Amino acid sequence: MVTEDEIKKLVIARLMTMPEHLKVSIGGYGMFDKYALISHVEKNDEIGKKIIEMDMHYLKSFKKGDK
Amino acid sequence: MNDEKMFITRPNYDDTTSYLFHWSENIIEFAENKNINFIDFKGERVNKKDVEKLIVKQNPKLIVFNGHGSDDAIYGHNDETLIKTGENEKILKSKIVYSVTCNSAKKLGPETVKSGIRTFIGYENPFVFLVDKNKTCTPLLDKVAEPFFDSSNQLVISLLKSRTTGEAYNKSQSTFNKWIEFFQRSDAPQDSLFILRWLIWDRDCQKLLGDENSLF
Repeated sequence: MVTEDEIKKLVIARLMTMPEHLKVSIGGYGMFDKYALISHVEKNDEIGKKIIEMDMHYLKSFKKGDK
Repeated sequence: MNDEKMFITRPNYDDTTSYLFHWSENIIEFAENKNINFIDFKGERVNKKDVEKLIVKQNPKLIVFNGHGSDDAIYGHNDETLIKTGENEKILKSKIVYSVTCNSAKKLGPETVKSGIRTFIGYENPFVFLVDKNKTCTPLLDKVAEPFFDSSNQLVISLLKSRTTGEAYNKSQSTFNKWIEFFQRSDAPQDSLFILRWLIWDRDCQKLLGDENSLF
């Protein structure tokens, strides 16, 4: 069983590999570079939880054999 | 020429709405080339009073909302509420709506269906896109953002080509898949992994509610 803390660490490790020139627009939350994304995940605030949800969705899409 | 009207809202007051504003120009250009009757509200005109008045008086058959949103609302300029569950969603009765806003397919969409909207297409979670931070002053030159907006715009362009709402939704979904396949190739650009994850997210969050056979 993977703990919530382990999931957070995995998401942060993946975000660390995000190229510096990219930013993500998450609707009304705003636009974030990788450091801001990581900070929200570390704080586990509303935005951080949404980022984790998106990352999990991506991984599940592969589990489903999705394109 | 189709006598029906399209109404499009394009607030432009932050980085996110700036991208939505500029990438919607592809839709407007297509409508102009096809002599489609459309009304384009930009910037400060995207306020509740003027939008409600326009919808009631001009009765557009197709409405494209760009901007921010929430579970139960669509926002305009400076986050002014345009449409809200329990307040004024009934003005969308008999219309086809594509809401390029966050979350509005979660609660507002189903409520508009109950109120007699023809078709509501939107996103049940945040509509997310990636940008190249060196291109934010020229969004249309941002190749990182292109797959997200191309996939979204194909929906409206299909409707303007007299496809049904179901066909237009499928076209948008297949455009998402085309880009996803492109970024899964072994020779895909270096940003692929990150573009991919959020393209899959948007594709899966895009929902059609109501009639799949309605036509613009």
